[in-house]
Amino acid sequence: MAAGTRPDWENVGIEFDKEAISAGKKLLQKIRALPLEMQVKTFLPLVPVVTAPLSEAIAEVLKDQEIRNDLLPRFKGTKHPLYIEFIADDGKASGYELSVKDTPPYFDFAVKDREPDGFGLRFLFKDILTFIESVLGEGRLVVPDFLDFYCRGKMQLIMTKGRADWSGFPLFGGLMFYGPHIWATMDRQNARDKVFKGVKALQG
Amino acid sequence: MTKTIPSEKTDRVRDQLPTIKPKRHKLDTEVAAALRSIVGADNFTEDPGIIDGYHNFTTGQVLGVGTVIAPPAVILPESTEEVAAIMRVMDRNRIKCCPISTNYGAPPLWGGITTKDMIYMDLRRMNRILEIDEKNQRVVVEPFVTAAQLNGELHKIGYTNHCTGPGPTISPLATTTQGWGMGFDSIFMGWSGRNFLGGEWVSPKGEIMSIGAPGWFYPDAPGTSFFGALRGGMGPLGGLGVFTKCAIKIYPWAGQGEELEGVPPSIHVKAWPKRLKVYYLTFPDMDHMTEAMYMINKAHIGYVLDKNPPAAGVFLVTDSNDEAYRLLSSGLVDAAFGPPKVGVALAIGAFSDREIEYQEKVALEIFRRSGASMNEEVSQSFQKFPEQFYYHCAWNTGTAQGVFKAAGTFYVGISFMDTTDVCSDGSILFGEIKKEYEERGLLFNDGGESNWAAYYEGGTLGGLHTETIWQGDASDLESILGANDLFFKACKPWLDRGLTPFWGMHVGHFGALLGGSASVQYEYRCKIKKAFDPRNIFGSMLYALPREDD
Repeated sequence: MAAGTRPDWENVGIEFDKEAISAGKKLLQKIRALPLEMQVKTFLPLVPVVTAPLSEAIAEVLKDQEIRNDLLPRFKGTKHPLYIEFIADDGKASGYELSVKDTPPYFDFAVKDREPDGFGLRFLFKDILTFIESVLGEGRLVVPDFLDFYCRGKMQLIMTKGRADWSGFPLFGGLMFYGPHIWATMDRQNARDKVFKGVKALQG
Repeated sequence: MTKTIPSEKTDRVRDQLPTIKPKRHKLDTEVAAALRSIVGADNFTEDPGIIDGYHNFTTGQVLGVGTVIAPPAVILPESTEEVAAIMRVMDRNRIKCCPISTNYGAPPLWGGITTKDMIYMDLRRMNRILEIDEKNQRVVVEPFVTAAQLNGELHKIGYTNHCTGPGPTISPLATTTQGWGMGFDSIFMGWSGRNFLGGEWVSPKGEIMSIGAPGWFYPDAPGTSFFGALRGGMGPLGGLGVFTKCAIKIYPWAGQGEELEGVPPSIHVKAWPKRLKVYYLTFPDMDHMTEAMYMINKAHIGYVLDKNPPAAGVFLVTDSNDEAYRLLSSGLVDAAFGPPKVGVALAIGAFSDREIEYQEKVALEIFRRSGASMNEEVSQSFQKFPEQFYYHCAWNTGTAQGVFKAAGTFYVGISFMDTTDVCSDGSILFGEIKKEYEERGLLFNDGGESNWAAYYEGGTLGGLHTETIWQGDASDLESILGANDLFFKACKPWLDRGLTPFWGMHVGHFGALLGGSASVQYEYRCKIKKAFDPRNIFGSMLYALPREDD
């Protein structure tokens, strides 16, 4: 991309090779073949597999003192865990509590079934599977895919009884700002291979 | 802009962003044929070259919007019946629609493409002023009529229309029916949604419905109403059907008697109107401005009133982007008008000699009590300023493209409607947060805290509508990402101070995050969306979801 031009976000993303697509499809088949009550349970370990390379890249990026000074307080400032809920086809809800720490691995996932206290995100599990199938079918994942997913109403905010917690917003902004650094670092650290190996391992 | 970030780092960010070959969504051949048959081959396109022409906008708040998603097609209907036929095809095939008029809305935030299969319905062929009714003080317009077009006709007969902050290029139909409604003239002409008198609406399923027709007076009253359901507080922002006609209230114009020649920014006033006077005021600090606002409100005077960043004045006295950039970069503007000082534009307008005398007397007393400077020295330094400033107030010429020409684009961040005191507090806080990004070279230092605010209806709608605005470079990835970062980083301190972010609490899904009445309003929007647009044909980014669990 030439300097001084803004990106065409439809070109910003990753392409998957045949082996990765095949592994992804096999895992999806395996999940779909499971009884409903087992599907989400089997899927949940996938997320930490995908985010582990992200945590490693963040640790690397934070070695830059300028970035560290800017970003680390935002990890510290994120007070409440984010609750991410998946609704299975049988209507049963289960999900993660995502806590943020200011030390590696930065993101902690604990499988919990509970009401959110800050605010939460809710997904229908079938929508997640459809999204992954679509991405594998396209053989690529680009930035607008996430916007498309959100704008189809596939990600719902869970209402809170009290005032929502916004303490994680500065971190979100910071991760976006340093996103290209983090992405480039993940690329150097062969994040795709790590994710691929993790997915293969989950296939059993 | 002086960058404090090492250049190799910024280059690295830009160059290492992984890019792959574009792959755009295509419409099904039969659907494309059905749509083409409604409007004719000349008014339907899937040509990427033409479609990319729709990917440009002055603002780039999130991810440098405008290049996030390309629509697979653009369709240009000419009539209500064509709009309805298009909607029936889209609903049947579950194709998403994004109606646009003058397209001030910034994709994907303010009524733009949000999903890969969403197509633009460009309403530019529907550009007629259908009726001007002096006796009943109303006009009936189509979607692509602009405020400038309408004022061009209305000023000839002594009337004018409310124009929102983005300037005269906006569509009065769009602002009246779809979103917000703040403007320089809001102190006199109110909020856009309040000026609605009737409309013709095509539902997401392609039904044509009239509100207030044929007499174009909508009998709105306390309680639930159809227009209220469709527009709500902030408007559906393109998220619920298409308005194809709109009856809008018009107002008497105080600029009668003016004689102008030339074009902006070199307007020459040959004859000044007797009953419209304009003042560019500078207050010593925010507290003095706040007091002046309250006094103006209590005195019930004013025709135009807005608090503006110094950059707003620069657009009036400079002929080019470079000239504006040099002037702001020199620091002179910041020194003269920047914090703690605050700039305000005020016009008083009246319809009798006695009234203008009274308003002037009151205004001058308020200036005295609040320590306001009328900036006579500005007129000496920039001799064309008074005429350009008058023209701006009388004709609403402040375009977003003009005001933010120095850096190239602008971003609107934390913004809210609240009392004048709260807005003033928010402005100071935002100025502090924004300064860091200016010092890092991510945003342009355009002087001051750069909050723009307009006053509503003597404070009956909360007081001020305030927008935090900053200038940046849309061709610079760091600037775009820096603007995003500032937006999110500013949320927390904003909320910690009890301030309400995101254009009030009514927009899109954000209401759900605020709890209390905002969550309840969001719940109702979801129910309305589900009732009228169960297939989410119009998208939901800034409106609501037709949720499956409702």
